[in-house]
Amino acid sequence: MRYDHTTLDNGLRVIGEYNDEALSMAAGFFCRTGARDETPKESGTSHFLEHMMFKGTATLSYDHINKTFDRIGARYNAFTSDENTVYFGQVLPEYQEDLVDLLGQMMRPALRGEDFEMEKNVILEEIAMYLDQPMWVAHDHCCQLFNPDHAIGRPVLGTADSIRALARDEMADYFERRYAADNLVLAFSGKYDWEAGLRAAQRLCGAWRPSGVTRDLTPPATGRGLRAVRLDKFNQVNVYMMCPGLAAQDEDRFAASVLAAAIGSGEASRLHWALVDPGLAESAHWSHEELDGCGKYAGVLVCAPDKLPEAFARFRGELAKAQDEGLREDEVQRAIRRFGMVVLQAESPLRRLVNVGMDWVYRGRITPLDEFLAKVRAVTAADCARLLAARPFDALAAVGVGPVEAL
Amino acid sequence: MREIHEYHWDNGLTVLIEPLARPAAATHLLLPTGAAGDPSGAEGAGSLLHAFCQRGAGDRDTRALNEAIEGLGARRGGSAGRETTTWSLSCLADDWAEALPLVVDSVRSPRLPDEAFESVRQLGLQEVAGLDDDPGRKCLVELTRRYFPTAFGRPMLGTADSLAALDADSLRTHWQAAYRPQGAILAIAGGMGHERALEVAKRLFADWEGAAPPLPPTEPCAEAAYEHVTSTTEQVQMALAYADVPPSDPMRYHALMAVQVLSGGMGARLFTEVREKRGLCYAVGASSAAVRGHGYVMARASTTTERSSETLEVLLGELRRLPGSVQADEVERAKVRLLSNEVMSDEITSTRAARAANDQFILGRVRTPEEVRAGIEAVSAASLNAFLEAHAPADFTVLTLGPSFAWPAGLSL
Repeated sequence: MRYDHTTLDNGLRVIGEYNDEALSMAAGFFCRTGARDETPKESGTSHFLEHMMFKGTATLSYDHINKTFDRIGARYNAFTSDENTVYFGQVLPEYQEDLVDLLGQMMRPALRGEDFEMEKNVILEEIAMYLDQPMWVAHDHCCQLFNPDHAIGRPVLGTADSIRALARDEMADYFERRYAADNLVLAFSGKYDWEAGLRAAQRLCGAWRPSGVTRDLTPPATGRGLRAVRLDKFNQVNVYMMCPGLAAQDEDRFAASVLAAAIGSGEASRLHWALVDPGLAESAHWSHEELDGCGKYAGVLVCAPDKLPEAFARFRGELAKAQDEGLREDEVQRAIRRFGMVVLQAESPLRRLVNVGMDWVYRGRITPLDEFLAKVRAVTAADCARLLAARPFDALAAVGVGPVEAL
Repeated sequence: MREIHEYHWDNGLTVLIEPLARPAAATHLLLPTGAAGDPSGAEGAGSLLHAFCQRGAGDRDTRALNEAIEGLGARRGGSAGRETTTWSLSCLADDWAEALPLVVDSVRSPRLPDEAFESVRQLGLQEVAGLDDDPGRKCLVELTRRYFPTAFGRPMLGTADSLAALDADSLRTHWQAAYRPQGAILAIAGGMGHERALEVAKRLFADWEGAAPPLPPTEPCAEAAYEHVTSTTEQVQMALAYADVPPSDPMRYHALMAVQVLSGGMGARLFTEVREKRGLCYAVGASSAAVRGHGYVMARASTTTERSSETLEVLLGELRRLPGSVQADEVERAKVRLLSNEVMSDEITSTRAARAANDQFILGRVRTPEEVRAGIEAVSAASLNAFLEAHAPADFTVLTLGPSFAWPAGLSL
């Protein structure tokens, strides 16, 4: 492995993790923007804009962009989250230049009015599609309950109303603010050519202006409570849960991830034995999600409506028990072993790209895999106990969606 | 140069070993049994059995088994499919020899204890109920049972009634009959070393014996058919299937290329015509599928009711437009995509093992990268158009699922 990084004069950061064993390379732009950076009126703009970036530039049509990705055999896509928007592609090394050229050009879109109106239909269909998926419905309701007065609590896709009301020029304003050179990272992974990548970055991105844009990192106020959203069209109950967790910049995030895994990841976790093994719930998971300046524990429970009272009580009982008694060392060690899978995931330059890109966005450096694993392995039951002693799960926000009146 | 060591044992097991200088190790065990072979009236037996086998095996109860696997940082995977049942393992090569027996115990010496059966059934029932909450998947299940109207197409999870009729004894009997080595495939890839892999495989499988009962023939639906399933969803799901050349056909690469022209990326026809030009939906696509002896294509889209008729019309129109219309640039894009995909798939150790096992099952041999490359390279616009003239998409089995669906006026099946 080799690690590369530089910053262009305009503030654009260019980084890479080179792997000589890889057969392909991946590249992507990471924009530090998402739902949490939108005003209420702008709700859904980050995600809608992500679609519009594929719709063409002043000189490129959407058809040209799509066909160029296909012509170079790329695996490519983009995603938008609460706080990041990422555009990526994976190709054989001989197509690096084409891939970077295309991604770089896409980052300066035309945002044509007719494309904007056409794509609005697609976004509305995407919103409708998620309304048929109970876990997503529960997730979006839970976000609002957990962060009631903050943009991070609003749905990434926006709502049908916010999307219908959005104007093209509002999106253009948002773009100017957020897609500035100093709010973007261009990342490489796999078997890439660093010098060629840098030359392309200079040529494509060198004239982009910085905007000095920032993000309000005051941790958002959190809400708690239990809520049911009765929807009889679903058979099962899907419950989404959130509690305050640790920030992406917090060194205790490794311990938070390990303790969450011991409680609810995999087939030897506490939630597995309490809920899945006895046949009470189809799935029961607990995890930790690090965010920019804040973080959360998140849980999922899927069960039949008649099993909900017992299943949810047991789920909460396991959270309380972990806080009351801590975790055993053998559980912690097993949970730590789960993280060894990152070595296998790193076989894919695309998987690794997302890790190194996020690493840089959040922390301004790439954590080598060995270092990551060493930090995870250093977590002890005492570290977990220290975090659990603060009783983070007492502030539970949970929303159940399905044919039920109450949680 | 790819090096796969191939062994055909007297007990009917094929062993494929691909040594790689990597820290990863992957194992994919494929048994030639699946939902198509579920006893009549006991649909879902194979699926339930797969879960039941994980409830303790060899000298370990469920907890000891799961903790041993997790304690090695290994991942157990697999599922009961239509004509195959798979058991897989991903781990670090250093842990492989210790981890594999934990998975093999579930296949060869599961405890299948009475006390665990009811919870296994409850989870199966929940999964059946949950299928209705996943309209995209439900639509494909409903389409498949119509495209394969015999036992072959039955829902793999079973039904509430069929699961209620099962008991632990019937699953034990099913395990005795179905989990057998004749025609099974063990594919191993990664950094554990060839000799060591072979030695461990022999220790775990050499004394395994017997043959599973043969599966019923595929017999896909021969005529065009349409059906609507009513559901209270926001969107209408639509899916269709039609026959393609068999996977062993010399023209198979032409068939794969045709699907690339349709749906090989965002520049391909379906995405361009349905989503980009008309904004009809978010999700649309087509893919090649194969079971032993039969190849077919599935296409799908989902959209709200008011856009659904036009969506299906455009979708079917694109399928019918294929013969004679393929351009050279489309073929060139499709070639690079398929060739690149081969390389990128080879980067992932578990994918290599799974692909080797699938090739062996479907084709009776593992294709070499050179053979695949030559097959893809041989396709031209002229040869693809000629292929499509002879094998025009037709006789569609179409299924829609949603609040309602108005069949487009004048559209024939």
